[in-house]
Amino acid sequence: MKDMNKKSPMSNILRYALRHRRLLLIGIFCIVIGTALSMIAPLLVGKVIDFIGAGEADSIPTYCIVTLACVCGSGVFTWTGNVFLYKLSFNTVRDIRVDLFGKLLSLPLVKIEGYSRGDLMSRMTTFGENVSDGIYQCVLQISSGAVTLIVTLVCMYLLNWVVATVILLLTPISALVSVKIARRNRAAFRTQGENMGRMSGLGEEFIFGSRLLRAYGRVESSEEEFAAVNADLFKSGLSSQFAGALVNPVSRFVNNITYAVIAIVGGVFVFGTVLGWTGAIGAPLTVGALSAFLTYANQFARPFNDLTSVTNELQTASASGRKIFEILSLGDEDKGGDAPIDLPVDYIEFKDVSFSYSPDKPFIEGLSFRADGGKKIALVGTTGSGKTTVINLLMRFYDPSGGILIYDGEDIRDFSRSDVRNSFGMVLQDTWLFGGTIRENIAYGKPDATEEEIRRAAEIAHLDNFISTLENGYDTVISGDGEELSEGQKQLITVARVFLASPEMLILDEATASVDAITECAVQAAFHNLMGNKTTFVVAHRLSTVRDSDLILVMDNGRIIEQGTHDELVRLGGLYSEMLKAARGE
Amino acid sequence: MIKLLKYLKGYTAAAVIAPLFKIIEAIIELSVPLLVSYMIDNGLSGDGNIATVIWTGVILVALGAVGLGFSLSCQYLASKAAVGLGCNIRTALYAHIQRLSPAIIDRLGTGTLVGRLSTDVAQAQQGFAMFIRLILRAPFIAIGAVVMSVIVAPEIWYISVSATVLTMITLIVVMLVSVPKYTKAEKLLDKASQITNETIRGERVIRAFANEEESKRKFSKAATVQSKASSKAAMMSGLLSPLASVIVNLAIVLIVWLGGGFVTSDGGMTQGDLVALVNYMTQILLALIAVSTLLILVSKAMASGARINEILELPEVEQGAGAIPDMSAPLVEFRNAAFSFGGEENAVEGLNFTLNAGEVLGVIGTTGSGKSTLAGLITRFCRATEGEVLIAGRNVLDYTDKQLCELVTYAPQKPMLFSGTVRSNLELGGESDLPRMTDALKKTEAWGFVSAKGGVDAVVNQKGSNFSGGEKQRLSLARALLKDAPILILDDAASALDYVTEYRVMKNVLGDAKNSAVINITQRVGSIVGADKILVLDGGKVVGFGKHEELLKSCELYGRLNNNG
Repeated sequence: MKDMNKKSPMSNILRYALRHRRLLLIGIFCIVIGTALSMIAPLLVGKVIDFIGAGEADSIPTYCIVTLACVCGSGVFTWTGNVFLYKLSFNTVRDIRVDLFGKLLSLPLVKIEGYSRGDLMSRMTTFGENVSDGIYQCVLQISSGAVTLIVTLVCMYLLNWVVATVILLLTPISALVSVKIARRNRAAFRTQGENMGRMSGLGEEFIFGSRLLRAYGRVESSEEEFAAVNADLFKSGLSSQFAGALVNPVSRFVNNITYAVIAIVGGVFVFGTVLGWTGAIGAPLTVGALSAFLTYANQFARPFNDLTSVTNELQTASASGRKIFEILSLGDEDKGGDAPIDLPVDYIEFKDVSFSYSPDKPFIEGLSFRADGGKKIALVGTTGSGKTTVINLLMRFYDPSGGILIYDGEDIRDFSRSDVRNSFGMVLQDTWLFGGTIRENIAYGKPDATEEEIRRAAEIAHLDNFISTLENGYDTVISGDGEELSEGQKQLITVARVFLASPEMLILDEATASVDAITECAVQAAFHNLMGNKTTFVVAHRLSTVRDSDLILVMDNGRIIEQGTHDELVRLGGLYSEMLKAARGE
Repeated sequence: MIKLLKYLKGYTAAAVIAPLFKIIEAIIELSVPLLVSYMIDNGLSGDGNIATVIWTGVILVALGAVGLGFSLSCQYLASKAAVGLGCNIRTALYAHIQRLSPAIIDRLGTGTLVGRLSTDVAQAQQGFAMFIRLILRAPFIAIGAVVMSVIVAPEIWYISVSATVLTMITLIVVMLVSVPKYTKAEKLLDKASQITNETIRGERVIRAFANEEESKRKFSKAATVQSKASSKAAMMSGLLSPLASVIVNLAIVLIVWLGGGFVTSDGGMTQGDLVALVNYMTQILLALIAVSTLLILVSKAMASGARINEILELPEVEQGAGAIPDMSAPLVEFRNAAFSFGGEENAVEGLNFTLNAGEVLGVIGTTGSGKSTLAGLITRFCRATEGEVLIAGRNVLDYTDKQLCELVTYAPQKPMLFSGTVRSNLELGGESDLPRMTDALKKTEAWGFVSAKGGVDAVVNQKGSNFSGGEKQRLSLARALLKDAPILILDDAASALDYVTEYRVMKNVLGDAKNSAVINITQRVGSIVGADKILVLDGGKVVGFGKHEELLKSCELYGRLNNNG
């Protein structure tokens, strides 16, 4: 996996494509045969035209039937080849996507959080599509292009070596022209891309800040600013749009010139054949052969004309592939040790733990506290003080950059991550429900739960009344973001979920922060049922909810600055008591 | 898409002339096989005539050059028309978005709207360019080639005509069958991407329950189903080009086979005619295949156009006709105001209060209790669905945007900074006097970090990403102070500050605004203890109104919030 990053994205994509070697080989084979057959047809049609000219009607039907066979065969082979290549590209991208998805669940959370959700999503979808298009187009164009070149070349030389050589010499001009244009275009496209970026950035800010613009009477001036960027976009858009539109007519013009030159040279040779001098240089030409040449000249130029579009396709696929393999090459989170956890866990201890997102900026430093079994530990402090990071360390979502975490007397790393995580039940501020029934959502941590267990969990979470008002009860399907439920109802479902899983310890991270006051009572009561005498870690923004904790940790700027019970901290007269006072407006 | 054509304004001429030029070029292209046929029949048959061969060759080159001229002019005009259309749509769309109700913007999401402005407009623009550049040309070439082939060989007209009709039917049938299949594959891709989205959102929970394998299975299944559906769609659409080419080649074979019988030495059809026919058939094939590939692009453009139209058709909020504020009336008065987002329940209801200059109204309640909606009724982000809201004695709906803007200033909970400098952000309210700026920054305790970053000209990144939440709130408060309007709304505007800093900042802000009517919205009782009036909201309903001490006695929720701290 490590070497994935060093390799070029193309070779990585190829490695995935080669898993479907059979599709690739059959696909190429069919495309080669199909293309070759279609290339022979003009030759045969030319022959027939000559027979007509010479009045040899007898041979016409045979040639016509052979031509028909070639044409039909070509159709069948081309289609089959296409189907195989499509399958190849879709299957390859499916494999890449499945691995990418797996990565989303096996990478350390710190790494995943370094990317925005939208970014990861577009790597999964848009970039995946680009890679898929790239595989299909490249294999198709390269194999059919190569065959076209070889077969037309052979056929042309069979017909007349002089005219064939003329075409061979003229074609590179067309290729050169399209490459030249493409190179010139790149600058135009880059400016256009930059301006699009500026426009999107400005649009995003202004739309996101729409309320503010209105409240400050700035809508009109924002329109002016937007119009200025839009004007730049017009200029660069026009030059890039026109640059893109240049390729076709110019290469068509070059082809037309080639066509005319062949008509003249070919005409001279047909003329010469009539007069008899072409035989001397071994290059006779008939009218039918000239007709074939005119077709071949176009076909021979096609792969060269397609060169630019294939390069573009390749570049897009390669850039997209790079984005995908950048994630795939990241190192997975280790699974942790395999020591068995001896439940119940006696105590958990943080010893001088530190943590940082980037090496030069320590975030948490010198964190030490001990949580004894069955106790309630509370973390308080302002937003960004590091409370949730402590939870992330506890759950082994994050790994400390210094110090040690003791779990039941041993280094927490001796146990497997999933065992440690399984020993906790988590209720977070951001509830997570997935698209499915309420029953599935409750049973998420225990898929084999019986109906009775699920009902019992719902009852404890004060959910049963609500569920019974739903037409489909437990089988009510909810959407992924649970839009049809209130925050409180969503939170209660996650409480029932945790209850059903009956974990050893509990974590409540600002679990009632977005619930209205009346629902909060219900949720708090459900928590009470949930906690029993389990070890519980509570992250709270309201001081009242932590008053009865066995240990309160007051955090500020990544440090624990005070710890003790409520009474001890009030007596201490430090930040905690100051916060209490400020909270009361004193 | 057609509805969007009104945005062609200023580029209509280009949009009309471009396809005309293209058609002239097509006519030139259609004449090439005729010339070749002429050359074969007059230059090469019988005794032959080398001069004819050469001058037809020269004409071919000349025609090519003229064709290039027309086609380049067409490309330029088409590009201009398309890009102009795109820019016009963008301007109109942006202006329209800024006049939609903020609730609609929230519902659609900034990401979606930016997508409309960028990707969708680009796609519509591209589709339009392709349409005038290529799509109009293709049927012309196809029909022209058919006509020419009938003229060249009237004896066997039925072959080229039926081949063309057959190819067109194939094209239509294949499109009709494969488009729904593509739509299905696209929906399945959406589903796989939903699972991805869901998973990224739920990273912690999935890992906490060690359910990674189950998620992977679910995704793998979705991805496989999607790839199979895509294969099916591609199998169908992949039929098009081979089928069309078989039909056309069949026609070519038939032409030389049957047509050969008509070629006689005494007039009728000639060998050159046959070559021309073969060429015309090839042109028809290429034109039709071009249409089929372009149709996909155009259908994408149509979809984008429809999405843009969807936004453009949303109603704009209207500003009032204008009213003169009566400064002797209470600055803010709510008369039984209620607001509903359109659902069964009101987001807030039963709002009744008056607020005079120099008074502070505290509004407290938990998340979702309707506090911000109350603020929105004053800033007109929401419009009362029942009752009315009066600002300086007039219904808030009567004011023009500008008038209202002069009466109200606000600092939101999620402060918004625009890219630029601290100064450019503070100037938003119209005040550009440096000492006043410095003073406001000092009052909101923002001067420290601003001067550490290099003073008021410190750079602000997009959305203020180089400032922390607390810093942004303090800058936003300073900005609100600088605007100096009679009504100041603070919507949880200091929530990211620690209790102690919040206390100091709010004291300064309220001191600065002592002549204004202040609405201070918060979740913490501590912030509004000294307010003249306090409104307690829960679930959109008023559950308490009065002073701190009264509420402690009369309002159970207030007491609870007070204890919560």
